[in-house]
Amino acid sequence: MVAVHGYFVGPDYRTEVWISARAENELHKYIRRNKRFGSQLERTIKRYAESGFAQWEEKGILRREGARSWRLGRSDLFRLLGGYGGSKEKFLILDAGRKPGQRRGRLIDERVAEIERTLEACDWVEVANEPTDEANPR
Amino acid sequence: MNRQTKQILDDYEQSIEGIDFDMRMDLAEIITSSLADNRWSQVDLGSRSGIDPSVLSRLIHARENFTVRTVARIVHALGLRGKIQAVLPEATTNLRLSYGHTGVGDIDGTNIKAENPKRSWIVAGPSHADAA
Repeated sequence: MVAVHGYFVGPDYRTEVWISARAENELHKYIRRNKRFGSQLERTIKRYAESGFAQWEEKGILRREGARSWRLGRSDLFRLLGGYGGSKEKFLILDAGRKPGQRRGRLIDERVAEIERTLEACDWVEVANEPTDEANPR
Repeated sequence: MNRQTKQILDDYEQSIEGIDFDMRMDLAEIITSSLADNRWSQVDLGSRSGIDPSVLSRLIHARENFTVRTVARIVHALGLRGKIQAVLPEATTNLRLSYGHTGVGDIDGTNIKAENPKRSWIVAGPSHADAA
């Protein structure tokens, strides 16, 4: 079971974004290493959350990866992987990582398969943020 | 979120580049919202606005810088008017919310004012002809 906590949640967001600790850790590492692209990626997700992810499907950086899974990534090879949690009002970022090259590669294939399985089985649980975290970090 | 990550994100948000990126996202939001509302493809909007669909795609990705002329072409094709406004940083969320929740055609930009403007914002609303 994958634990996810709120990242962009509340009345400001048409699609709430929940994230796993692993994906958040990878995202924040990416932001620290690539300040510009990382900030743009984080900001894009926030804007998508505010306007609703459905509006951006296959248009912006939100691209279908499998039957249930989607990816988010800007012009480099870093990708966030996840999918909707039951409705278009909740998006779960379950995993993140860097593609080895232009092709997805076996590692990403395995991660996508695991995300498909998690979403299909609803094998995720919402947990409260750590006390030291802010409810809405941005 | 650790302090270093938060500082990076805050610095970006308050930088000129961050404001630039937000304005690109504003235009991207106007385009994608109106494509959905009108059930148009990017090719449809491209042919109506005279803008190459590949340029529209880059605008939606917030990768492409744009001119006022480009915005004018897009809002004209959508039957809207464009407006650039400068608002307080904390006002931007409410502005986006009113846009996101009511759709392109319902924005009344005249309600959004700032006495001490620090950030620019692009909005699209009904053309004068539509309003009348």
